[in-house]
Amino acid sequence: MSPALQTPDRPASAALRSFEAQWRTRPADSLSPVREEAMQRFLKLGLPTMRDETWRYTNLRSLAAQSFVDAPRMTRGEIEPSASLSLLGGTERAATVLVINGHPALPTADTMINGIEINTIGEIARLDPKSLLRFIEPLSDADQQRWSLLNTALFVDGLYLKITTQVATPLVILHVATGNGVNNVAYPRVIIEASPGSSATIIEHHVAQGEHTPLSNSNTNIALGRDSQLEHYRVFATGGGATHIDSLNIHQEQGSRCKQFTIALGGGVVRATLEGHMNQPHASLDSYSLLVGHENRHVDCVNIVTHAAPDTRSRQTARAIASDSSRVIFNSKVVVNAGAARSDSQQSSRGLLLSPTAEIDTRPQLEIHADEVKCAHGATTGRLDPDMLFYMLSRGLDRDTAQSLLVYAFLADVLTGMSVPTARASIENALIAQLPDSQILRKFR
Amino acid sequence: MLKISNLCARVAGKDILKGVNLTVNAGEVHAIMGPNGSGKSTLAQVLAGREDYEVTDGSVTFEGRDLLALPAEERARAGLFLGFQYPVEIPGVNNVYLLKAALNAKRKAAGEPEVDAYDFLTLIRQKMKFMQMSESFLTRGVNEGFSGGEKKRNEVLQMLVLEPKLAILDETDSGLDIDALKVVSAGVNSLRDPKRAVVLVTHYQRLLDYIVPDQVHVLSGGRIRKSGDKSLAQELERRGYDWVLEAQVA
Amino acid sequence: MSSKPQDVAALIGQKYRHGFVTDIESDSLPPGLDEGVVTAISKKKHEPQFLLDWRLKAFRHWRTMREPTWAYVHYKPIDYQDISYYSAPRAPANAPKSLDEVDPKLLETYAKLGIPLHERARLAGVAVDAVFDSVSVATTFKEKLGKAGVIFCSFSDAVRDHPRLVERYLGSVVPTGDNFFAALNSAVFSDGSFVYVPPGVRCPMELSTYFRINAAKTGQFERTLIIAAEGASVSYLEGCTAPMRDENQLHAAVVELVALDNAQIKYSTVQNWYPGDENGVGGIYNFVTKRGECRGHNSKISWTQVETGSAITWKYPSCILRGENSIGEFYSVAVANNYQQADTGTKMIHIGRNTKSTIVSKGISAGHAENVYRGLVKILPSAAGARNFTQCDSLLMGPQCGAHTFPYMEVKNPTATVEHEASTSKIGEDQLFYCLQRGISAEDAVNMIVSGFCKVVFKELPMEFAVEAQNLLSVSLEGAVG
Repeated sequence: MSPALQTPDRPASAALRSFEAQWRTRPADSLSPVREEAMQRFLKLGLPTMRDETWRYTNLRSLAAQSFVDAPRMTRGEIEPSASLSLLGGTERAATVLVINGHPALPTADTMINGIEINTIGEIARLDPKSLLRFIEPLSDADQQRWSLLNTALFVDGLYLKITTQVATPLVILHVATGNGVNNVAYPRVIIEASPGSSATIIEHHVAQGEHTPLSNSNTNIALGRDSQLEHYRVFATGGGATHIDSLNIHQEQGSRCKQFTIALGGGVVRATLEGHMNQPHASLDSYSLLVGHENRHVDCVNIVTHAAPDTRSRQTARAIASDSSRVIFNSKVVVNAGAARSDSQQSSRGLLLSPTAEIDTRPQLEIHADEVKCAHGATTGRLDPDMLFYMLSRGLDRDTAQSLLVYAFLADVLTGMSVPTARASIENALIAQLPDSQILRKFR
Repeated sequence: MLKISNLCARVAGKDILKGVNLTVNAGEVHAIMGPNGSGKSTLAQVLAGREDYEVTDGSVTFEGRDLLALPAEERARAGLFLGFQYPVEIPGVNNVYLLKAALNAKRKAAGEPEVDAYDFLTLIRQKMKFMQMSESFLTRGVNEGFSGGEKKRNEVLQMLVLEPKLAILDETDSGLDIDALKVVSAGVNSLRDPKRAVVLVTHYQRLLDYIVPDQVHVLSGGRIRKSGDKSLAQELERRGYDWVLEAQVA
Repeated sequence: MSSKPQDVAALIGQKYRHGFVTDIESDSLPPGLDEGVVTAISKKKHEPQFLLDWRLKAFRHWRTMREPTWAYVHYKPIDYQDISYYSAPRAPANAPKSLDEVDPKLLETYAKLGIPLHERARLAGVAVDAVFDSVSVATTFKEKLGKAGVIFCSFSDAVRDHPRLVERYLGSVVPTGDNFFAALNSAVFSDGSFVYVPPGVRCPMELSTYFRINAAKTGQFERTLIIAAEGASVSYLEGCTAPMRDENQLHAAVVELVALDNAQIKYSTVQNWYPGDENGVGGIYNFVTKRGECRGHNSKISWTQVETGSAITWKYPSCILRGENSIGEFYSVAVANNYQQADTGTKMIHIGRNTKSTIVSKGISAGHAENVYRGLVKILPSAAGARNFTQCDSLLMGPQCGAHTFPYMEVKNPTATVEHEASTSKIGEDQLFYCLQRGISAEDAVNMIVSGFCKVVFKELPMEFAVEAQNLLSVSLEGAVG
């Protein structure tokens, strides 16, 4: 079934063969034709390599040499209690939906929480498969979408959320990754549909449970209807050396507003892709990335924001900190299609390098095909500003305090954009724990 | 209080200060004037302890201590305050937080307890009122988005809160309109006291109408060329700097 | 506020001013490329064995390489077997010893191009090493340079007269297998320029070479090597015009610069090769590898380019900053009109401590053109205190063109500072209107505004070049905005 699996110049890797083996064991469902096409394409294109533009800084060779099997299916009861201590789990204001290795653990198949209809993708696929297609198609051969193809082919189930009204309370999706000692892989899939005029805040929080964390190939599709508003977070807080590859696709209709936060705080390798499409006029997308490299972590964040209609607006704000032997990559691109007049985009990315063995790579790109646009970006990488440091010292602050304060201030542009105080507080806590002089930072928070 | 002897300093390989001598006693206000590039700001930065300014010769004592041996933060805690010519913006660090941290650092060094949060806010509100600053200042980042005048007011506000023994104000008057100049001067004058001293670095005589100095010095080419009382400033205003420099040559 | 359509059409229909063909019989090899051709080129030029070996090594490497596809350019596949790799003006027996002996037709050609060679040389004090097709035919001011100890000659002469210098430095900055086009050049390069400025010498004049492409189906593969020894300095000017052709012509030059301790090299280019017609037919494919190495401490290499010509430009003049405190600069204006495609930028590789680099790129797109800035700033762990500043601005004229910015910033030292700023905009209607209201024509207004946009780069050019560049810019953009 896969003629291109083994070509002379690219022998299939162990990983590729194992993914294909998974594919052969998947039962047929109403999405099979799309899945089949996705799998064929994935096998034909293969795993991305450093020759692919958006994978230039992330080497998957050791991953490719491994074979993977599906992560175990577990129930809510089998998860140790600690895992349910979500980022926001302790706060009474947030409702939490649990997803274990991609499998939703819902009390009933069809649930309504605070005005958000929650279903499993499996159930929708059974009842109304056509309604899912617009979130899954079109499939793309672009290298940043390679893992999305695999997710589409192999995801077993997922969450389907429909926001129908103006929802005040944030909803947390707690993704728990947990393995059973072999090389596991999970394919979490989330679809979020915001009906016209609706608004909500949704926080996807990825944590790991137990000693063995599976490879996670997660995928979220968001569609914002006319004049809807969504604040979406994805927080990567899996511990240890696990690899997490996440793809987020956002499509926006007229007048919709999306605020998106990508927070990388955990894991061994985190690859987070965001593709934003402003398909109709007056849509706006604000993306914030907080990328914290710590110990040996490798964080590779790819943002591709497309202005496909006139009068669209985007802002990208990224702050990267790399300490120890970590590496942080922020690769962002703004595309203005022909005809997308009066597009307005700004990118600001700043990197703070705190160690001689760390590295920060930044690629703030513009691809402009229309003339009446306002597009700008600014990017810097360096150490703490010596003028700021001296100003504080000259006011009597000790050096450690002044430095910590500046590190914290460095992140402020992202943190202050968060409109959920509880989320912000928890993220700050987790963040500070990974910064140098965290004791001092705690004190002045 | 402050004794500068034969101070020589260089920046980026260039000699700027070439033997400055100056003594400032408690209770005095000194004005240092001079043309652009004469070394006025360098002198202020060197006294405050900027690392990229290299002292090549001379000595500075502050209340009997070797000032040059202290890092910048210890000089500040010992009671030396620099009002910056171009105060840096530090987005993300709250004004009030910085001021509180600075005050507590000073108190700690003096063996005093940390200031009570409520008392501190009361104090700062009172000083802000005196400096005619808006409430929004409390929530903003350090100098973030401030106009030139606001930044200068903020410098004086910090000085009023920290109550230094020696305040060096580097062109604190530049960029101020007349009303702001009056406010800033009133701030400085309110700190005048037999135990404190002020060094004003300025371009213009205008400021000295509001803060009357005990002594005026002309700094040029990295040396103090002439000293006198406040009438010297008026003469400089009338005749410019050239005659001082020419007199030197002759 | 737009002008009448017929004006626009008339203005856009600006014909290539330098389009003509000089009729000189060529002594050319037939099209095709194999080891025999590489050997034949070397033999024709009476090269020493080391150079033949070097060429063959490059050729063997090239055969294993694939043409790069990452650039933002599209063109029909090039048939490398359909290109003639050698042509020389016919005068082998009695080569001209001075300008008087040069074929008058050739001199006439220069006159048509607006380069009165001897006039210009005498008046401006510029030595011109004119490359007609692939072999140098006239070199002036050799004596004056000789007195200063400066070697400025054709590459072939350098191979004959200074083989040790050539052997030592050739390929030391751009190795034979560096990239597809550099490997090709290394195998088949015909001629070019060679400059050696000895220790402590400040080159007494600007050095200049005018390149031309002439014979049909002849690719040009120049090789330029400039060495500034300890404490030396030199300013080199490169300018290009080409005759009109319907067929695309491949150009794959290599320029290598070496700056030793305390040396400075300034390399300025005005590139005005045939860009193709208003429908995108014809034009030069310009795939150039230019790289300089600041090998010594406190050395400096500065690239300035004004790129207005060629159907396709693929060019990244780069600096390897190896010596401590060394400085790299890149100033660029790239104009793309009609169906031109430009993918150009630079690489700044910081290796030494306290190395500094500055990048200023101004891209102007009009018509259906695509204009890309692509730049890499790499700070290696050894480059403590390194600094880079990049400013990258694009100006769009018309709704069908594209302007793209693809920077790469790779920082591996925490004491380094790297800053990048970019903006994209179009000529402001209010700016235009202001000029019109003051009685300035739309065309002049556009020129003024564009000149202002590019000013920061032009001021880096030597005076005589700056004027030429300014003229070129207005010619290239005439009618781009109505």
